[in-house]
Amino acid sequence: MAATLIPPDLNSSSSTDSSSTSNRSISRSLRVAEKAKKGIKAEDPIVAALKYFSKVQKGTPCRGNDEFENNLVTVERVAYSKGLSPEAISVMLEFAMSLRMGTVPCVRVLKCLLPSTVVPHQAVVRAVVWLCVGKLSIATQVLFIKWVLTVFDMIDAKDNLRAIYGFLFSFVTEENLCPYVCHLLYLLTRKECVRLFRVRKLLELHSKLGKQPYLLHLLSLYKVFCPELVTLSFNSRIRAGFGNHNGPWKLALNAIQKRTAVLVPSDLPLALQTQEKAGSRKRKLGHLDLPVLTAVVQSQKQTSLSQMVVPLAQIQSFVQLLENLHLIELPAQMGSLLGSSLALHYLDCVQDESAFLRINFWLGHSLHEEFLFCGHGGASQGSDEAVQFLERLMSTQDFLQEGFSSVEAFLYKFLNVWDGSLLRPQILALLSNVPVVPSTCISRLLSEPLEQLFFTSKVFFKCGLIESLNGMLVKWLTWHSVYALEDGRNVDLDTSMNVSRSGFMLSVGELVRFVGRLATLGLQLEGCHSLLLSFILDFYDTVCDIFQKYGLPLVVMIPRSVFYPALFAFDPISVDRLAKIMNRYKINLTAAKKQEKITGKAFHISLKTYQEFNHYLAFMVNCLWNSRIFQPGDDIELSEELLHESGVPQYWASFSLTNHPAFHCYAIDFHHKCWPERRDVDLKSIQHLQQWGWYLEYLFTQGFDGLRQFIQSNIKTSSRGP
Amino acid sequence: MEQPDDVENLEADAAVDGQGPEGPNGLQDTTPVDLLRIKEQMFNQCVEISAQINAVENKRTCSTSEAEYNLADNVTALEETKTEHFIKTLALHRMQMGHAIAEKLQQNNPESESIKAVNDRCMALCSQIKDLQQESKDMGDQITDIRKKRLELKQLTRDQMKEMELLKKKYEPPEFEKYKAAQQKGQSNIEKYKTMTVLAQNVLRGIILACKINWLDDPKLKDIGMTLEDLPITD
Repeated sequence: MAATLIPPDLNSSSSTDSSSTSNRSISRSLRVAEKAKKGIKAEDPIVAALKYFSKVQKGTPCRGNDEFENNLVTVERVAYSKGLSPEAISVMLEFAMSLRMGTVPCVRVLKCLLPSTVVPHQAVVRAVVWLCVGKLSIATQVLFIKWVLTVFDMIDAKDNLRAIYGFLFSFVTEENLCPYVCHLLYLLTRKECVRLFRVRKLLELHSKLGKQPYLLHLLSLYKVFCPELVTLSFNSRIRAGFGNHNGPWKLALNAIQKRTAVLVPSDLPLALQTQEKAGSRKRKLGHLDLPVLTAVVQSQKQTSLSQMVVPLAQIQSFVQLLENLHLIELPAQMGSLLGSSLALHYLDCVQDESAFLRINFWLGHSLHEEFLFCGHGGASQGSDEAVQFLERLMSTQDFLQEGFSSVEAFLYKFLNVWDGSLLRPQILALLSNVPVVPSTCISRLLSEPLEQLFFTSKVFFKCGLIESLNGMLVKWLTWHSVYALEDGRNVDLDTSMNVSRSGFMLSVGELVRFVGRLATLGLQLEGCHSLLLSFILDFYDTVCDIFQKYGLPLVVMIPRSVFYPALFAFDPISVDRLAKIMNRYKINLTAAKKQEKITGKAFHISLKTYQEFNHYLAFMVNCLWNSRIFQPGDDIELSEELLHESGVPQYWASFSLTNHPAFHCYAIDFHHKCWPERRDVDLKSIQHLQQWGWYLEYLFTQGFDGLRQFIQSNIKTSSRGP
Repeated sequence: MEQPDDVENLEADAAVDGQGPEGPNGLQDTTPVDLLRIKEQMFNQCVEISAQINAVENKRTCSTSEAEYNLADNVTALEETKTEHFIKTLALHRMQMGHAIAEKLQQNNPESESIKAVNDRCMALCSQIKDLQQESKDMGDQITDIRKKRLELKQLTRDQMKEMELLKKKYEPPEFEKYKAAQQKGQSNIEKYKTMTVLAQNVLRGIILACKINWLDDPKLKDIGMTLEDLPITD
């Protein structure tokens, strides 16, 4: 190799520039000649560079050393284009952290350490040991720890890192390093690592530095593992996470992953066939991809005789899960649980608080820090990743039938900055999974941001939002109907949900009122758009049945601003649905009254609700059947002059079942069927008793069940027709 | 304002009613003292007025919270009025539209033919929509039922797990009493040795750190260093 030509006096600082220049030029030309002779591939420079860095002697000067410079530039070039191989990472990390050529190259090397596949754990362990030697400056130490945090998911095994947990812990006392070391410890901690003296140290720091979020996070994890050792109490939700430590590597890593993913499309299908995990490894480097489920302890050695712990990654079937239920050990990277249904089963059964804490932490971190990166990627690949991630999250929540508190927190923050169109279906679906919100917080957390979005958006967003809130209501009611079995019992589902029955009723009432307001103003803004009306009627379909279907003693009446647009709608379907809703209200109200009489318990439906209902009912019957609306004293009063001015003769009958704009075409159709020979349509002839009955039958055959039930339950048809 | 009237009255009194407070004589007696008195009264009245103005101003600043409270009510009242207006306008418009379409259909011209065609299409669509809505409602109900069942299962699972935990705690191995003492002694021994081990490990770790050497390179130190977290018997 060319290196042998250079005289071995690189140790001495007396290697002059002139001699090195001439040597360099000789070596370069020789190298080029050799390359030309053997036709070596372009990877050779990197191999040579790595050999240089692994063999360079201690004390070699780096300033003015062109060979060093060239090799470093080679390494950087390869790193930024496709990432460094594991061996390269080992060599470069060892070179940097051992400070063989002084402190200056260390920072530069650390900044270009971009792995292409994995980071060998031995290299990281060696580097940490070099950290212990204590010759690095604080800034460099911080940089190193940040790098470890960035590539943490790519380190192939974590058990050796856990073996030096104590050494890592000793860095906590260094104030500048403390936040990052705490983050790293959080990722590595297992139950065995929680020792009393460590807790004491952290508490000491806590009293010295104050309520730092990183200390609190680590302490709360310790508390989850060993509650008897940590006596501090924590806010159930520590909002601020560990912060984004990705620094200069994240964007470069992103670029590398995209490039490697594009470059090897043919490999992916093969990899997926043989082993799912290896295939997903290629895509694993995407920062929103769920990490692969790996075991905590790669080596098979058993540290103790009595306790045999089965890593979750080894469980392949449900039967195996059942057999080993009490021996399962969770993986280091909690995010990987979201992809595996077995893992989710396990989580569901064994309500392991530490697991939920760690998952929430990982989710919160991913959503807050990574998600925002993805959305602005610009490339469609970026938003595909986000869509996939959110869909995975949603399917997990559906599987578990409960939401994660970190997702909820993220959503509240996100709603404040959302523009209403980015990833709309996913965000709205996540919104419908939000668990019961205390009524005092609804206005701050939901109403304000959603109102802003609602009023400034197109009609399709309005429909989507109303649908999502409808879904939310249904989920709340379903949850309540299963979990609140006895009256007054505090429902204590998990640490974050502690809702009493009356609190729940207040929340539901507040939600219904909020949607009512949205509906009122939405219909006015959109001019009674039929699609919007349909979604709103869907919502009131749910609301009218709250008592009968879900057992919650609450009846909220449909507001005027929804009732009348539905009654006067152009499409018969809205009228039919309105009739159905009124029916259900009647059933619910009568059942409520009965229950009051039977059980004697006060069922708090105000008189106003009954009055409202009666008014609506009377108006509807008068309108559709009796052809008698707009009379003075009615619910809607219009002055005589105005009605005359409108130019409509017999305005009082303008919304009857024959003249109503929605049913007019049916009336005409019926008229043709009844009297095919008549040319002029005279709808009054339908109003004779016999024809009226046939007309009603005809309408019912067209599928208007709501009308049918309405008429049958509210109108005595034995009396004469209208 | 009171002041000018009073002053006028005073002046009038002083001017017309010749009898000043000093004496029944003419104007000369009343002028200086009365003027002084008038001046004093005017001064007092000025002070009173300024005090009243200040009081009024303070009242105004206090009532912003009241104003906010009223604001909420006023907004609601405004929205209600808007809604009423909207509903009435809607009713009128729909009425007129319905009537216009009905009139149009009475005439037999091409326009009415096209309206009839649209009507027929609407009716067909309506029955389709009805079917689809019914289908989606049925599916929605099914989903809700399934969701309910799953939640019930979850609750059942949790109750069972709790029961199992209780049973596990209560379980005592057979012939527990015989070996209870021995077991307890053994347990306390374990605790003692564990504490000693942890302490020793801590001390060793401290020594290694204080030496500031690369302990990975020395095989013996490496063996020690890499096992400083292990305890042979875990909890």
